[in-house]
Amino acid sequence: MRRNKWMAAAVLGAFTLCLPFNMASAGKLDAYRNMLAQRNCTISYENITPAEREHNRDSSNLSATFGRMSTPPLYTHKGYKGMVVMQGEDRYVETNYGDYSKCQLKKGSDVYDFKREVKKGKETWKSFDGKATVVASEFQPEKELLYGESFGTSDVSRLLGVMLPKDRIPAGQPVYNYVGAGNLPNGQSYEDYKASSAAGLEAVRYYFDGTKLVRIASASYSRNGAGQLVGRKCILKIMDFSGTPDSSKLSMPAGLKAKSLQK
Amino acid sequence: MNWKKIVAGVFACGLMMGTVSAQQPAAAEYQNMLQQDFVLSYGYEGKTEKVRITGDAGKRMTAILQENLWYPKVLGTNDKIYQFYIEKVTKAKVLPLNMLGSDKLSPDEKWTEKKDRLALPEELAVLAWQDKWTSHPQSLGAPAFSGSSKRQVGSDEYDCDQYICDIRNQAGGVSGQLAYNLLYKDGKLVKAQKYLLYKGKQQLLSTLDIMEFKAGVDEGAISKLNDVKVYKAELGDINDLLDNPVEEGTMGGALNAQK
Repeated sequence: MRRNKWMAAAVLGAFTLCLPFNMASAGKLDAYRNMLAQRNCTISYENITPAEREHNRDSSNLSATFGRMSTPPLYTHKGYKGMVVMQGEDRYVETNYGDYSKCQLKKGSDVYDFKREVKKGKETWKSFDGKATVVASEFQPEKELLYGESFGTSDVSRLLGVMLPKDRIPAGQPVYNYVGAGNLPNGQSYEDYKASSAAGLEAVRYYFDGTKLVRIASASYSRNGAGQLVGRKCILKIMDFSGTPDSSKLSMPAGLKAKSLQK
Repeated sequence: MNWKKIVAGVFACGLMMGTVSAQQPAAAEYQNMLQQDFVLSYGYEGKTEKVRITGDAGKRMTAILQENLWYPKVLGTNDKIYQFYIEKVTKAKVLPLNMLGSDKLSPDEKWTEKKDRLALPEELAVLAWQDKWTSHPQSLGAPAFSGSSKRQVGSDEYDCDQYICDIRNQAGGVSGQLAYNLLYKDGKLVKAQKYLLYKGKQQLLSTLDIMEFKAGVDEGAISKLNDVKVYKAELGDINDLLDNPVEEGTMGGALNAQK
């Protein structure tokens, strides 16, 4: 915890010292931007920052939250893992909470939403209503055009979204500008980006081991609707980020059938 | 000029059969109503919920139809927001508007979702883009009137006014467009349709059916709430822990105090 505070302080300290450069590109991150621009990649990450407590009191009414069992981290305060695979306009997004994963596969204009559960050591995939066949829903581009692409939770969507080409980011979202780069005592290097708007400020640091992206850390401050200053941090450990889509993820998992909308 | 804009423009024209450059005369009246006082009730095709919104410059109330009766759901005034619920009888919870984003609020009370209930339906927001209860995605540009024409929907013919909003991206371009067709019959606005214009295709996203749309606020509906008891919103204090909501009086008292 102390180390995380130090990191947040270091990231913010870097911004008070650096003059912002409005440069679009920055060496090591370019390789990753290109993978996202080409839409050919596999990303595997772990969010190691526990989610904030959402409720204003520790007890939570179970009947009210039953319908929200698909968002467990808000109530269990644990980190989670995830995966994003892209191949052109096909996409697989998974958010993994240990025994439970929320999955979405987009193939052409078919979107399949399903879950993975582990019970007594056995892994099964089912539709959200527990069936062995998932019926596709039609891809609705409207939401993505207006609000941006989703890669899982809002933190992950935002931090990976920083690397998307500008014509894929809706106007009105924070603009991240390159601030600077440097080396760390442990042999790693970093590149810093900053976004500031009327809503607040966010600093994002990309950590590299050589040219390999290993971590993304963000610290942000904003004012909520009631005028209170709210700070949050998010740290993603990157286990894999390569330009080769994992094709096994772009088809339905074992035991789960797909019912396409295409005739 | 952005080629996407040209293609989108061609498709916008393709949605109409002959263009005239002025809005329907009734459009100005509806725009006026939405800024002053009105009663609007509507439903979406394919959905069972029917909504009734009544309001004036100072307040707005939304009700939902259940078993042929309109049940109040949310009331917004100049400085407060009330949500109604049924616990044997109709009761209300109140929150000052300036506390809406506070982290002390209980997520179970869903105050932000309640406030969103006071918004005009998107298809009609083109007539009142600056409406204080209606918000728009930042990527969506303001509507531009793009022409009037005759339009066939099912077996009926309507006078159609079309408005187009650009969906903008950070590269400064237009990623797509939303087109809103407001359909009039005999001078009255009866339907509205929303289309997405994207990658050369047009996709119908929704059809709004208007049951009632007239000037004048429904004071009767609001005064019917006079005896409803009002409780404070949960703010994470000792009253929440004890499950003991604090009563603030009745709606009649609260609303009279507003005047």
